[in-house]
Amino acid sequence: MQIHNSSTAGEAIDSAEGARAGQWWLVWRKFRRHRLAMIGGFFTVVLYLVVFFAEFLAPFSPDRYSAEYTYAPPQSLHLLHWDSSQGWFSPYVNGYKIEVNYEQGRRLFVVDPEKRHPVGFWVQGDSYRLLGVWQTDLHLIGPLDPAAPMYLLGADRLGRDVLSRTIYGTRVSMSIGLVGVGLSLFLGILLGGLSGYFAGWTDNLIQRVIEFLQSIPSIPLWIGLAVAIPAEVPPVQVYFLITVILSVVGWTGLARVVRGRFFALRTEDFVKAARLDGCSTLRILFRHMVPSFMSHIIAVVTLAIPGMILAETSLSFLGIGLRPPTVSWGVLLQEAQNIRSISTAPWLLLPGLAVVIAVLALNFLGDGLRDAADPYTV
Amino acid sequence: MVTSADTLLDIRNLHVQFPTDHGVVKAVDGVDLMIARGRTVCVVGESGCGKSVTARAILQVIDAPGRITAGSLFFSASPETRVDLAALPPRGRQLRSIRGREIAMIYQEPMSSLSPLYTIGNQISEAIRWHSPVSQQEARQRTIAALEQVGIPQPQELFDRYPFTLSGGMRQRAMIAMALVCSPKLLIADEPTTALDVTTQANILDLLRKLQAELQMSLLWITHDLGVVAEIAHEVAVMYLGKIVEQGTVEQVLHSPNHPYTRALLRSIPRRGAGRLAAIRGNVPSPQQRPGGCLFHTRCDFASTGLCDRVEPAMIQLEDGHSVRCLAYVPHSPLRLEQPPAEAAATDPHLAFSDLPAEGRPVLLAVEQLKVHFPIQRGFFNRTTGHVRAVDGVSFQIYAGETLGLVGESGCGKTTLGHTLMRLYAPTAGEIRYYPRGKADGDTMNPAHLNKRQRKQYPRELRMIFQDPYGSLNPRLSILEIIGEVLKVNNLAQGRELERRVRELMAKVGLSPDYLHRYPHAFSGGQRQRIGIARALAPRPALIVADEPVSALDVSVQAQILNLLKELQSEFSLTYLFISHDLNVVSHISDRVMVMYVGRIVELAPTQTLFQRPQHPYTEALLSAVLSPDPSVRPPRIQLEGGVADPANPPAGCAFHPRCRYAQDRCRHETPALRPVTSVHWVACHFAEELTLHPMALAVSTLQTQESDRP
Amino acid sequence: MVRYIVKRLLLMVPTLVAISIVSFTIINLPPGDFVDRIVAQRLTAGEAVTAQEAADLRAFYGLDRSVGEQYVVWVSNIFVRGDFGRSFRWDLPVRDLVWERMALTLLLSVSSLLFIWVVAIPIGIFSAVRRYSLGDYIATFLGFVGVSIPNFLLALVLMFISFRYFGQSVGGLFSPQYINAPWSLAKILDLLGHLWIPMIVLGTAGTASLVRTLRANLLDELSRPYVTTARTKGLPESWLIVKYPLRHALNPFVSDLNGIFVDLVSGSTIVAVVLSLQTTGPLLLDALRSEDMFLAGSFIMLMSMLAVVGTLFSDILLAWLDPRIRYR
Repeated sequence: MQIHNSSTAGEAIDSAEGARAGQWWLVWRKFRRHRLAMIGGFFTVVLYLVVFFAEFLAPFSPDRYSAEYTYAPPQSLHLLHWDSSQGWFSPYVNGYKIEVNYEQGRRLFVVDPEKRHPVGFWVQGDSYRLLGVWQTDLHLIGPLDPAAPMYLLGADRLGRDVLSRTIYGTRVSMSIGLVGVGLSLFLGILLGGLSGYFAGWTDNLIQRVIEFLQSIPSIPLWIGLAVAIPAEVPPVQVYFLITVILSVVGWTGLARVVRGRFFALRTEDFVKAARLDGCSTLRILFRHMVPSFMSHIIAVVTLAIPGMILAETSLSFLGIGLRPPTVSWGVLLQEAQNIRSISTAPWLLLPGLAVVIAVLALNFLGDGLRDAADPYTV
Repeated sequence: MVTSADTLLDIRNLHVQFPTDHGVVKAVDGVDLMIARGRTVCVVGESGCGKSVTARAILQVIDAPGRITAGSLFFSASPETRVDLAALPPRGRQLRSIRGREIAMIYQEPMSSLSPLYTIGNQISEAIRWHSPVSQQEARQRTIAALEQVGIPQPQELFDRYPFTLSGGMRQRAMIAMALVCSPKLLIADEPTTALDVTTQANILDLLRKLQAELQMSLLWITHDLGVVAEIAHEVAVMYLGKIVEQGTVEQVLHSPNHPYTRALLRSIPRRGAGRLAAIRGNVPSPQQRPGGCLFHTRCDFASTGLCDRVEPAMIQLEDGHSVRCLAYVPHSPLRLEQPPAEAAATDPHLAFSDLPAEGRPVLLAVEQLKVHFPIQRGFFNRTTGHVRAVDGVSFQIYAGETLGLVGESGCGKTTLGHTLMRLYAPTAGEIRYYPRGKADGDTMNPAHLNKRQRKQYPRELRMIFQDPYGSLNPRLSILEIIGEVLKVNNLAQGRELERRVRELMAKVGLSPDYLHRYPHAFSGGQRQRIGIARALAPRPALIVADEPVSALDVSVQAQILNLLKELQSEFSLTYLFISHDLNVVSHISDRVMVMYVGRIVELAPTQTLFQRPQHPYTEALLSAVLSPDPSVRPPRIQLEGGVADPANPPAGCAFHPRCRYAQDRCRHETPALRPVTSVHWVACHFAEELTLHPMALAVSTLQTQESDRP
Repeated sequence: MVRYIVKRLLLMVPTLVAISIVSFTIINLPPGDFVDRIVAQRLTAGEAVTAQEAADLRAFYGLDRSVGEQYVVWVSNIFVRGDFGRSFRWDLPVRDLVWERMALTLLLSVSSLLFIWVVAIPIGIFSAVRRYSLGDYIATFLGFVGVSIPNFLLALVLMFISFRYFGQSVGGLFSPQYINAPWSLAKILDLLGHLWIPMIVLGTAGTASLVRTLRANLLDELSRPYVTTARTKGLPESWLIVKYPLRHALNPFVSDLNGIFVDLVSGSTIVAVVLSLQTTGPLLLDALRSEDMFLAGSFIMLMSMLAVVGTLFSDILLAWLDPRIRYR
């Protein structure tokens, strides 16, 4: 094992670049070799881009309904179609026709291969403010005829476009994870830091509280708290209260990590050396200790976001988290709560796929970050 | 001469490689080694030379991803049989029946080599039961017998204990019992005493030598310590970068070393009275960057360009059994191994001992009745149930310009004392007084009560060098930031001035100032320790507390650092408090030496006096445990029984009395005070004057003269 | 060991007190109370309710007293008579409603835990010992996917598949004819026949995360010196892996056990709602929504206590497995 130690030192020494490499460069070098984590990172970036450009990416506004097309099934997008009249690759979607199922006594929409509705990129549609600033009505994709039906992922019970709603849901679901983790991180660093810094009684007390919170089942606790949010509270506040509720449990894990790192670092020789150099407590903290666990914290935070997303989805699914008209993945999945609606319109489960992709991507990313967080051990 | 019938293990052309992301590491590169029945062969070398890997290759327990790529390991359990271990599948039945039964192994870390989840008895008797069809009862009997054999006092009781309840020495004995329980023909010992205190090391060495003779087994001993080699080996192989460079009997290799590397290793062992140590320059290259030609030519004082960097030397037979891998011994070689002229100037006038006796100089630091106790807290409410008396009433003075050595076994309070001087711990009682310009000047600082100006000044005048060259440098800061931190936060320098000062410091400690913006991971252990020294030196301190500064380093690098410390001392008129467990190092660098035991000073004297006329039985025992790299020097050894007393619950009277062979009734009741027996010699023993104690055996100094030049 | 258990039991007391306080606080959080709800219902039904009537109702249900008093009465009744209060909505003593459902929750959680162990341990060992093999990659990938699927979604998908392709409904823990039947062997068999779907749904995430933990732990342990020691003793590889590294790797695994158990108890709430199981979940949700405070409070408290007792068990198991804890 000595071989490995000396080899990393030796390997770094011969390239002046490696020798001058700071922490983040080394973390990046180690992270880059983790292929799944790179893929996860890519998807995470894409998802957060969706958060910012939801209006542009979604063909329609999430609330646009159409009584004509309730439970319309997904159409497939025909991209490479040569239209001789237009002399161009003109993409289209098929229209619908109605079939009546006499056994069930219901109308059903079926994709009609005969009808074609041309589809375009960069088309005009519902108007919105991009990033809240620029007024525009451009959409990445949409039907050329605004009245034509285009349901790439199908329609729900009110004839709303599942694709558009899922894209808008990304905004709330991804951000609630981030905000919730941010809040947890704040509490975690504050209380974990206090615990690590004062030690003794404070530490003991905070540790007991953490143990207690971790020992009670979180979902009954969340349900209990979420039910207490009165129905008349406006959506923005519900959003905020839900993040607070999720953070009630979420901070404990982070506080443990912070405290553990803190204790481990406090006894490190280089921290002692900083004290002997005459550094003030704050300087020891921020110059010598925080950089050492920053990368770990980032990894832990990344791994905590999926938990938040899952929790929000679960609560909203039960109808006690976010409520319509807010659009989140969990709210969308409420539509798929019983076997009847699922069997009629299985595409209502598709927002669940978005949840899986988001959680998977963040898990891969976090896993890679955790492995790369300490580039100094082999 | 060893006949083939006597050969137990014949290693031929062994190659072990580790494929890594940065290329293949040739850890062992063509080793030939023969182990005869009933003999002890030592493989010696610095870290990374492949000695451990060689040992592990024999039983094919090399850590992944290493594997044997070529060579054979012929093992003859009896003179009639011969099996090539390298050709056996590593997980096969045949190799398994050899492991543990024919060939056993012990390791450096007795703690991590035993599982904490099973009792000692379980882990030992398991080995018996897998190899022979015996009943549980019989296995237990044999285990207890083995434990008894290795000198464990109550083997019956120990059988059911867990490893973590034992001391390090006991654990290593248990490991040895485990290895011996099936009466193997060959015992492979991989640095088994490195992690132990000197006194325990001496006990284990005696034990193994005795057992080896009794059981007529062969011993393959891996070590970095030439003292251990001289102590235990019949034959020696010196390894460097995966190859054996010199081989012979212990007398041949240690008395008339032929390879420049062996010679240099011997010369770099610190010893009393030597001025400057003949260190080997540079570091052991990383195994990926093995130099071409002779592996050692990059560090060899005699290397001749155009020859040594091109031609790879073969092993050359010199006389009966003594061989060497150096081009100087090839017939008609143009190479001469003569002392370079630089060596003659070794006795630099600055570096000789100062004529002025330390006591004649002004006092720089005085410690009086210092106590540092740590509360032991237990239970739910953190009740204090006792105190660890890490430092328990210590008084001494440090004189300006001297080096005061501080020795003792681990757990005796050395480090706590050093840390307390640095204000890392607050004293429980007693006083420390620091006199910035000597006592006569009148300005006094008490680190417990510093005024605002002194709070800035004190930490600049007292600095510290840490033991661990890895843990003591923040891996996330560049060298400039690490060394410059103290200057920056104390407003001593900024910007360009700061950079200039750091460059200057780096040059002083022998680092290229070009490395200013590099990070610690780009440096070797020795270089890191230089960075640590530069950091200590930065605010121009008066006193440096050096806490085991060379313990983590290889012998050749250790000598470089000791030389550097001496040079810096004379250049900057530094005073050192030098903490170490290694008496060779302390005897080399110190003017006076202080011996600690369980929080108290038991003896304090000028180095020469302490080593030649020790007056405390503990000092005598420590001195007798020091190993000399000269196989002809075998002093009578004093066996210290048991471990260092528990500082939370020290024995009544003299803390050393349970281990002291001179203890009398008085020692059990009355705590001896530290009292002067001469004006410069202080001892804490009731019978200091009456006892005639053994001095330290004559060390290496004779060796150098015996080195022959060219044969 | 006995000392350790006694100590652990004593440490549980403050936790249990805290749990009862938290449970009671939660059920008092929503604005208004059960009587407000009755009044609202009557008003919508066109009945006028006088203030006097409302006050009488409050007095009847004990809601006129201060929150502190209500808490003390509730807790002391539980302690003295095992009386958890009365469910307003069902007009039954709470204990008649909770015990069977708690038992089913416990059964479901424990069987999921066993499922997790039985599946995760062999896969984890395989994954670590045959590191970077195809099987390891598949296990690792499935592990990631497993933890990424919300379990209610898994339940929905399973429901959809079995409905669409097997034409049967998978909800519930009993076939309709047994739901209200008294306990009998046939009912138990019916229960076992239904149990496996919620067990898999609930156990998937736990299995996936345990495979990952065990693999990581085992990889750490496989390179430890005591493994080499055991190897040089001449032990066969498979025996050696089970006796040394696996045993060591199971320690953090066991200490994580309570976390998994808590998650199972917690996760069963949602799965139960989706699969309409006769466990605590649906009734708890219902009770919370209708402000049936004693029922909801008892559920929250009992589920928390279940988790705390699970923690106790895993701690004792750990102490039994690891002598270092016993000797501390």
